[in-house]
Amino acid sequence: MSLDPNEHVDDAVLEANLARLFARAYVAVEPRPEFRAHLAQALSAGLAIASQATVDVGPRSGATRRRKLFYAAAAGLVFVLGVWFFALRAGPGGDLTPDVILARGSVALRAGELRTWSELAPERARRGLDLVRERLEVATPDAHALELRLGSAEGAPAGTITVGTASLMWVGHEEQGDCTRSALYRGSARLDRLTDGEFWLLSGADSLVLLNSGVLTARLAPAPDGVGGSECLYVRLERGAASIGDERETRALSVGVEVALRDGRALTASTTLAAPGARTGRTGAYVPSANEGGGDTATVETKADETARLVGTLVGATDSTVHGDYTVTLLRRERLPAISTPRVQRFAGADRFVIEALKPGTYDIFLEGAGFAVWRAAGIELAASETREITVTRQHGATLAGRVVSDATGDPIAGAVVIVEDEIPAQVIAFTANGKDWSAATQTGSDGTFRFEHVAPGAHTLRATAVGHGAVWTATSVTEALPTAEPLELRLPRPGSITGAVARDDGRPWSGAVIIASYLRAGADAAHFGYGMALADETGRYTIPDLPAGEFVLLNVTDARGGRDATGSRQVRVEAGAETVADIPDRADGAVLEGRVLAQDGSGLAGLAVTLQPSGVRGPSQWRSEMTDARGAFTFRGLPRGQYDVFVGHDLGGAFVQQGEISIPAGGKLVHDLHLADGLIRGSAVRRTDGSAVAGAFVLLEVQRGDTFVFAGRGSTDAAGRFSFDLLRPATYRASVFPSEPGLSPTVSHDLWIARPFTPLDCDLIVERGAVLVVRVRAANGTFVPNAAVTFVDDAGATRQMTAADTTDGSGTLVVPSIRAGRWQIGAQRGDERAQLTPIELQVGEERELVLELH
Amino acid sequence: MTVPERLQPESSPAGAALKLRLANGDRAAVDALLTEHLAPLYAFVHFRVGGDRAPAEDIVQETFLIAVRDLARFDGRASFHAWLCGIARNTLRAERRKFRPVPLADALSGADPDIDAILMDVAREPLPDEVLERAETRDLVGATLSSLPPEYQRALTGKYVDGLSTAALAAREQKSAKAAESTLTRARNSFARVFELLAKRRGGLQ
Repeated sequence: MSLDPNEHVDDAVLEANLARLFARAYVAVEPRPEFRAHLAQALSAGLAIASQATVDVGPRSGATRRRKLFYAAAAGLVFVLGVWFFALRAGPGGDLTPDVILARGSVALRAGELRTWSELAPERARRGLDLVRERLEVATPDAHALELRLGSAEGAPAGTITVGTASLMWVGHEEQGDCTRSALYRGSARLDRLTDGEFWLLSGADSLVLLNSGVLTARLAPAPDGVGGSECLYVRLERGAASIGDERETRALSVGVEVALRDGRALTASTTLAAPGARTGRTGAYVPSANEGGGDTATVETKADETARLVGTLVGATDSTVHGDYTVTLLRRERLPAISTPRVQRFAGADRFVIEALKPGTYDIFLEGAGFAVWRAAGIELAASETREITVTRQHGATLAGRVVSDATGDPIAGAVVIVEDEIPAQVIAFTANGKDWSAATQTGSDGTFRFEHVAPGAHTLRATAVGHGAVWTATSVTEALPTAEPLELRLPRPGSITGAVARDDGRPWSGAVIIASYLRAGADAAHFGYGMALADETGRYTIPDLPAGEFVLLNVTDARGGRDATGSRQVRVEAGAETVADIPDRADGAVLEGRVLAQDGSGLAGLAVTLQPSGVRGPSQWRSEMTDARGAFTFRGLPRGQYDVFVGHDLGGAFVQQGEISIPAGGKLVHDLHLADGLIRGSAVRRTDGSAVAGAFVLLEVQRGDTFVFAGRGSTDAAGRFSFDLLRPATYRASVFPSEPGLSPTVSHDLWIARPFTPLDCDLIVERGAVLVVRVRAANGTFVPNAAVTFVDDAGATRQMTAADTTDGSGTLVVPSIRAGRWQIGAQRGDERAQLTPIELQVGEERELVLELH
Repeated sequence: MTVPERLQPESSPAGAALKLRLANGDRAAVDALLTEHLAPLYAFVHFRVGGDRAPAEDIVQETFLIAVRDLARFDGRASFHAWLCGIARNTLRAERRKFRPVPLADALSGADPDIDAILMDVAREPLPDEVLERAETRDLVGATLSSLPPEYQRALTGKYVDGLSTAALAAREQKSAKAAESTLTRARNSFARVFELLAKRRGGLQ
């Protein structure tokens, strides 16, 4: 068929196809109205020739030259810097000095060797700038910081330098020595380095700091009291490695310690900020943009007058209690993938302690000392500029003893490490931890026995680990009335392991990559994570041994790109006695999916987990997760072809909401943005009996599709029984809570209607008593079947999801710790084999086992 | 509905006047320029940077700045849109080290070859419903449209998206009904030809 454009073709097929294509497959690609407005302004300004005055604002490195500009503030600057849009305000004949620009509340910029300054409007400054090996001077106003995203010649992001408010800084790449050099002349800055390779240098107050890796904050301020002289460069290494000095001598900086530098020498080192009033004039403190709208960098370094203070008073078991030396550990609750870093302070025998300069937030506090049980308090709120007083009532506690044996042989295991997990002052506890620094940790003797002398009354979880075995957990309780609990026996199972190869984006083996396998314990709260870790060898291979059976989140924590704190992750299942192979990425020849997660206003959303799961898959999860970077961008690599459900959420997949489906092709690249909405459902789960919170429960979110409700997301209740689902699109939802505590019944909410304009929807769930059901699925030959899907149909004929996955574990068992009393029909399936729906009636408080046989 | 001022090639007195107005910083002339050319140019660039908004805005901005600066070089032999697209292509090449612009067909790559085999028969066989729902089809429609002259884009979207009759199209474009019909026919055929070509390239079927 000829398609000569001038030929009149009366083609019904083409006409019909075009109509249907435009009706169903056409999406208009339009520029944003804001972009058009800025472009119009720039074009209008660029059409007039502006004369620019030459301004000298102080010392800077490198030679300078005069250069004539034509449409300088528009095309020339854009062309030199390769940055995005500038809003231009220069008029014909106007003088643009930095002071004039700053007085307008804008950022002042001067590029390369140019002598003239340009203005960056606040709304544009909020989006930051991209630099690739260029040079730039930046002066920021009082209200705005500026993020500079540095790229490498290869196109990969090298990191960010954030110039604080009321600051003046020079940033540039120097070919000689292949380094990124910056100089701080006023105010503050934060350097966040992502890549290795070229050097990062920061100078100020005639001192030089070399940032090898991680995050460094810096500020110029008057010299410490008693030192005198001009101002100093205060630097603090937040994480990573850095050093100070010159060609003759370098000294490493300690993490978390602020050091005052002048003339290349360290004057003081302090873990606390200077007292208020020690600095005059501009504070130079680094704060994020004060205006609304998210999407930009929001990390804050706390000023002295914004910190909290904790005062503790120790109360003994008797009036004559001698407290002795003790250690106070604070864990500030962080949202995954960030992990709490313990702050530890030791005190010698005082009955009162004070801890200063705490970042506001929610803390878990532990107090350990010889002869006493560990004292702990969870969820203590510390507010800015406030002093919180707590009372620590010390107890001698009870004795807890037991034995660790091999589950396979029954033989005692010497040297096993046993911890009272809930009393460990750490959020992450390696399976290889020896516990030497913790009161609530011990090792078994040659006969496999262990003993804790001082365990606080209450419920506890013990964890035992040993080389050559998987970990085991067991719950127990200690009461005052029973000073010595019954001896426990902890049976260590056969270990599983994860092994694989780690490769970089270009396929090269990634030697030295740090791989973490974080254990997902069903029903456990997020207070403690067990994990295994390995370093990839010179061939890029790694092995993490001695893991318990179950589900793990596997992460390459060395792969922190685009400002993210954690890389993509995926779930891996480990079986006892077996080796699981998990390459990272898992299929180099799969498809690449790129996109951005966008808010309603079009801004990118950083720090969210985007998760893909093959549609319709139940059982062992095959999900993959990636975190969005500062621009809200994500990338999946090595994806097998197929249809996937897409979820977006928080806490590395701990809470997420479905955002649709996507079809992944067999190879190549697909670009797909996710546009999120702002609907919010929040609530709490409480017991009907006494109104107490139901903590650590799994919460299921479903969305209405026609006449039925389908899976839309999941979350969990916190220590106060609260849960929330955000990023919801307009629809009708339903929330169900599944308590992990045995004997409580799942509860379903009424229909929850989310519509625009979005306002938070509150939903409280009253939890009744129920039953416990253990389902075991057996093959015809009598062996119990792992990974069988179990179906639950209630008395109304509706199929219900009862646990996170509703599949049997390695022993062919699915434990449903909380199921509503009443009539159910329960079936199972694996592959082509099925077990017919079996009727069952459960009573309140009953514990029942049901065996289903596949045919 | 206010009909936007229509830009004319250099050879017309109106075009020369517009150039003069632009050169004098006439804001209304700038608005007319953007009204006429921003959306089609943006779509053109969008599909050549992998659909990423940020580099697309950067390239579009620089293209217009260069065009306004070098307006004297536009001689009217090609349409203004084609001239802008030429600047955009050069700008894409110059900015290559800052991001990775991809050829149009590569930007659309990753589709199921079976889908493309179906799509390349757009002028011969009815398209199955399931193909219409695919992201690959959506991308191909957008990319094809962005490759056509703005006049053709307006004709196709006017008819198939806005549901305008030929008479309404003619009124909107300030043309006779016959001229509007002729434009629509050429637009449809051009769309089908480019669509087929891109589907072939993407699916490796060429």
